[in-house]
Amino acid sequence: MSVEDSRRYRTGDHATDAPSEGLFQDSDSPLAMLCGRPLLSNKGIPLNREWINQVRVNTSAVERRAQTHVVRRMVKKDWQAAWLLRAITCMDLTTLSGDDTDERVRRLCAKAIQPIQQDLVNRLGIAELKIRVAAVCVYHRFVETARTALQGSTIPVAAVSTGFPAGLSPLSERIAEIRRSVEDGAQEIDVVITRAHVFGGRWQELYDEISAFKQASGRAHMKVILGTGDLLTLRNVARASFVAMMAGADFIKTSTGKEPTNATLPVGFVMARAIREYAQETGMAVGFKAAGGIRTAKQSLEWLSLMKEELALSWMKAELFRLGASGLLGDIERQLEHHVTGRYSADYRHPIA
Amino acid sequence: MAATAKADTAAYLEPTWFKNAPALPAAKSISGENANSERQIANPALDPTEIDRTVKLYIGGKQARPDSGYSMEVRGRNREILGEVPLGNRKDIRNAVEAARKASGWAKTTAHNRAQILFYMAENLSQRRDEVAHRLSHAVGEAQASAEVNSGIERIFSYAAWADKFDGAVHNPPFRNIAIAMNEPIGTVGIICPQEVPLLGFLSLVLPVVAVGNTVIAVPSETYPLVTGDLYQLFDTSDLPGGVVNIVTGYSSQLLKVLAEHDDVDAIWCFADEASAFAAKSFSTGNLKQVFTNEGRAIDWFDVKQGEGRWFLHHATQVKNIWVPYGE
Repeated sequence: MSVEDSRRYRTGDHATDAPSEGLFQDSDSPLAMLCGRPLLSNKGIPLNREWINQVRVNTSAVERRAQTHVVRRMVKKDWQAAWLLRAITCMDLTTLSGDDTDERVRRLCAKAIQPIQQDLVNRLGIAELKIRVAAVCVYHRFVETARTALQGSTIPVAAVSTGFPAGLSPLSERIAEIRRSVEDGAQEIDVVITRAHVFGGRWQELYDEISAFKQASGRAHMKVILGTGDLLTLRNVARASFVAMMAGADFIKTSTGKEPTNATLPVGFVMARAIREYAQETGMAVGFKAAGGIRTAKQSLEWLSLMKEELALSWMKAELFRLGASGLLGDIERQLEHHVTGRYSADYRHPIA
Repeated sequence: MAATAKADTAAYLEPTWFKNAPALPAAKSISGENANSERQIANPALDPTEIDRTVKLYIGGKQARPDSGYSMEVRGRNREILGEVPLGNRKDIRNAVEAARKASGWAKTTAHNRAQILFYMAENLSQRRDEVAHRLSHAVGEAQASAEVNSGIERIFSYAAWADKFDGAVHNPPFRNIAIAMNEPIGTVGIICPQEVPLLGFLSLVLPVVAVGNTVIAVPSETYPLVTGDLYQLFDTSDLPGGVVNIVTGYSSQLLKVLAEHDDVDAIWCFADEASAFAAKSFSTGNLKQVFTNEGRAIDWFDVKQGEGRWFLHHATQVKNIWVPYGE
């Protein structure tokens, strides 16, 4: 493929630059742009109860929006391939099973460094883009393994903490867990909220809990898992999103992947609107992570276009958007092969992720 | 005001004709005399076969609309329009292959269980023998239609019987060893069905493939693709798990190309003209899938010797050899 082709597939500046330090800067340079306004990274604000109380969500309108979102024509041809590559760069390659082993984590890390098989990279002409996934997400136990396996690649290791997935162990233990993961070298921490605080409307408790997590995380990036499958109503989702952002979350994340329903588009819309409102009110940008049940390339495109429509281009990059997935990469590779050859591919033709 | 409102409510709850409807005669014992002797049954002069019915694609055990949103006309022997079928395209094939792959648990069911389901299928088709033959007769004439249905039922029965009898072998090599040759299903099989015998041709090709545990993406006869409607009702009522048989109607030459090039299709059966047989072979070189065609030759599907038996079952299976050494 020619140079023009590879320029066409360019998926993001950070894909070519060394992402390490540039990705999560604490400096005062803007993290994102929204409607021409520069946004800083989130430092949190005091809990604003009035704001929380006036949150309303029109469920049927959200559902209708989500329904029409998926049936509209998606990006096609070269653009589709480019969006899929972008989806890879926003992916948190995840393994969170009871039967995880060091070997599996090492395999996952190898895949994270080279997410697309070499012959496809060559045929797409994208070698110079150095496509990598955004992070590798594992249990605390495997942080060390992952860090060693990823050495020299600048891909951060994310750890799930705070009694994942239930989040019901004592607070002191949950905080100690975060500290341990950070000490082991996790650069990103996924924390779980106590869902009961949301049901009881105990916003102060929820705020204090997340603030404590944030403090324990220190410089590590904190993603707050809301467990939206458990929260029952979209209004709860919106209110929990606001509390998490006020408490200083760098990302808000839909679900643990262990709930009966995971990342659904209506939930995504509600959380994206909350992020937008928070940005407009405070001038600070919070990222969004969709996790759980995202298995097909089509779904990854739907989430990307949701980000583009509801927020802005800044939320289509790994700094502010993540897809938590384990099986997604294989399907994206299949679609990329179809793009290159014109023939439908079989999943067993691609290395497992 | 209140009174009118009340009257309106009453009218809404209870239509006028219902109020004036005559009382039923007291219940009589049916065994005594003909219970229906006095009942008048409204019988509009309506041929039930004349009501339009939209046939859809059959993917993953569900009736699916085509991705294209287009349909194609189906014409009878006298060029009259019989109906329309969806115009399937490559995306429908993609979805069907995905559904077929997902149904691969079919290979793990016991052969006995598959036989039972096939027997049930034959019984269900025989119950609806006349109506299926009647619809088919518009396309192929009454004589062929009823012959197709009758032979079709027999064919299902014989593959139901074959399902748990198409055994492998134990070989005796010239050293202390035995080799067990097991017949195993190939996986997903794409089938282009013969044009001229819409129902029997379909059954003759799909049944042996399904009987030994494969899943199928079938493209029915272009002459009378409306047969799809009867077929999926048959499958739906016979406990066949969704996705084991998927049917995509459309232009078989186009669908053949997509099927033959698809890497997740393990074998392709093409029973049409010589050009199609050639196309099936050349398009499927990408993943070296097994190809089985009629080489463009005519097959008499009504003849049991030509249209059924080991020839088909062999092509529907692959042999796994297990070497078992023995000694002291």
